Amino acid sequence: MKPATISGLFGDGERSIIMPGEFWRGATATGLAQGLRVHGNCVTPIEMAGYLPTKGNRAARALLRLTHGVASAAYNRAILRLAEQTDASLMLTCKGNLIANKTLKLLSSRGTKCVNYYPDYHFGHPKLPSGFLQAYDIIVTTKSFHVPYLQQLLGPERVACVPHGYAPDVHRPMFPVGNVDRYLWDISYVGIASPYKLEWLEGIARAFPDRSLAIFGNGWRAMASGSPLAPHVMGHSITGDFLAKAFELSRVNIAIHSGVDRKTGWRDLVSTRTFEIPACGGFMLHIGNDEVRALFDVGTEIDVFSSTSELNERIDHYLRNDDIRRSMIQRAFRRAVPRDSMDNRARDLLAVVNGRLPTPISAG
Amino acid sequence: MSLIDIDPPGIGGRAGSCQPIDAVAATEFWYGSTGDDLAIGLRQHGWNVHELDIGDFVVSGRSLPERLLSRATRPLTIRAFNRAILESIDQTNAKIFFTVKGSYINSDTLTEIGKRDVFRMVYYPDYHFDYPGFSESIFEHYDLIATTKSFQVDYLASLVGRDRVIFVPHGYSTLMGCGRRPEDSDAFVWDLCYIGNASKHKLSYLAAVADAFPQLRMIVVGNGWTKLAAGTPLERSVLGYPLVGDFLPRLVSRSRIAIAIHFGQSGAHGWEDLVSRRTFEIPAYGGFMLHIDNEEVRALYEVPDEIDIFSSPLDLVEKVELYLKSDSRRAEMAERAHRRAVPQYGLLARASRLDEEVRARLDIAGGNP
Repeated sequence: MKPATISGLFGDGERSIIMPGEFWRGATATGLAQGLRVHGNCVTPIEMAGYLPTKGNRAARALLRLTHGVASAAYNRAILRLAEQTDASLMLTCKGNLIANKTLKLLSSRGTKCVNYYPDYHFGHPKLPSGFLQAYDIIVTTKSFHVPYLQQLLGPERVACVPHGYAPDVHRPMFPVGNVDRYLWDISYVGIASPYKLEWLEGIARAFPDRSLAIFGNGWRAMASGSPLAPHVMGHSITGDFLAKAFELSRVNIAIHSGVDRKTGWRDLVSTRTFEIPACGGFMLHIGNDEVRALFDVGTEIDVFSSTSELNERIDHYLRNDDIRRSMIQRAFRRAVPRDSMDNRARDLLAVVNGRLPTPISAG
Repeated sequence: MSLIDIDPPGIGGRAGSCQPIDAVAATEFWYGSTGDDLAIGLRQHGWNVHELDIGDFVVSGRSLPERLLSRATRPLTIRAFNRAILESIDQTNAKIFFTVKGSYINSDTLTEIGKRDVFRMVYYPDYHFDYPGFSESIFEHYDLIATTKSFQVDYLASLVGRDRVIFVPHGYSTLMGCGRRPEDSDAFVWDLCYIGNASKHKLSYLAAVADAFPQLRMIVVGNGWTKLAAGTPLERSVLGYPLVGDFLPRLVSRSRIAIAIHFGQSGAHGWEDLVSRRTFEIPAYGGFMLHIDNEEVRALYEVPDEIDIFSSPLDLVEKVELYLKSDSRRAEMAERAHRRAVPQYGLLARASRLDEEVRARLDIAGGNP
């Protein structure tokens, strides 16, 4: 008699999907995996941190860096093993850190299609092997400005664009939308430090010395040291429920991105924050560009700025006009939820994948 | 497969009339884990839960180099994990700390948490205490111990006092959703499935079934079976590796019969499981359950209206033969068991119990989430 096998477990239109990546609460991969499940798929996460821990003290991290090759090889072996064991028809990753091109080739040879949902505004990361873009069957980018470049590199049939989104089980309000009784901060920014952001935020610190300002994220202690921003640096990052709480309990949330990538000239237009802040019931002041204007009604749902003076003028206006600010929160929430959820992004991504990489007929 | 919906908060917010609670949780949070599901359940009651996943700190691979690496870095990574717990509590200003099992959380850390006037709670999911990175003496450092095992209550009470121990059973994972039994009986992939790690006690039951029904489409999923079942009639049914997460409801709902049997006696106290997560998962995921007999499972389900039980390998063989003959009877029983289990035997319901307990002890206003 035939030994036990799970072939036959997946009927027509059902996929077994492996997802190697990072799955902390609020991460793009976590939200996407949940969205794929909502649409009937069987998703097996492969947590990169289990092979190359992402947290720990300096000594532990230094030791782990020395053995990076062992850990990376183990991670790639696990991807291949789990593709086999779960009879995966699709490998979907967000960014694809540490996934070797050889692993992608071996997955293809067993019939597992490889898709990269790419969340960053440039491709130059040390954990990504050279030539990784060509090694995937499809690159689904979150950035509209990547599309012409990728289409030229890979051909139009291997490229699609599905924007970022918010995770419905994480980015959600605690209180009735627009009706927070007690705010913790007047102005907040959450994100990794960069010189470009520092310029904007220093301006706020100077203009509003008597307002409470909170800066969350990695790298700010060193970058803001000695600047007017230094007293407002919280000194740690914030994720998950407490990120949602910070957005909701700040009167004004600033959405700005890293500056221009020197190599490509690309710069972010929108990011996860663009969708997360309204979904959490937060009020958003976003750096102005055509893309954010196409997503939200500016002046009635969110507001935008394009210079330091304009940013400070808008902050002052909305801190003085609480009713207007609260009604805009409600309208932005209604606009974004559920339109921009990761459940909907998963649906759109599946439409791309199913249209271009049909599910193999079940062997069972 | 349909998912059990967790109501989106919508414009009304998720706290409802509850006073929000800020908490730090340090345990494993992989998809479908008890820690993940409890945190989800507590959030439904207005909790903000900052997750510290021990998996982000320690190397967990299985090959020799990975195990050596894990061992070499463990003292450093465990120290980092414990320090991160205290940092997270300070950064979030949390009033509650909770863990599932609490492996590698040391007494100094719990003492420091207590000094910050933070309430310390452990949800203990296992039937013995003999695990690496865990010692019974740690229990005295918790303000509330919720054990999933009724037989541990008196013992734990003797260690820390009756008022600090409650019994909160296991539950099924809501995220994994409900499986749906096929309407067409030909759509079943297997006649019988067993999901769980290998033990000699289990082998004696499952091998008897495999021996009695050589043509049975049977699948045994879990760690350790390849070696243990080698040379036995069960060998052909062994998948050879575990399947977790979304696979559980699919395996259960696409098998005519799902067996629930536990490890057998183990540990310093000689305890043995009466019920486990499978006791609640199989009916919740739409499966028909044959469960090893004991008073506890009889108190949870109507036998034989909802599930059936067995008390020996021969008894199991007879029940398998009986129930394979009648698709309609099994389907009716599975449907009744499903209605019994969902939602009251879910980890969301268990989280509600923990929320009530914490709010009552700390005098924090509850309400309708």
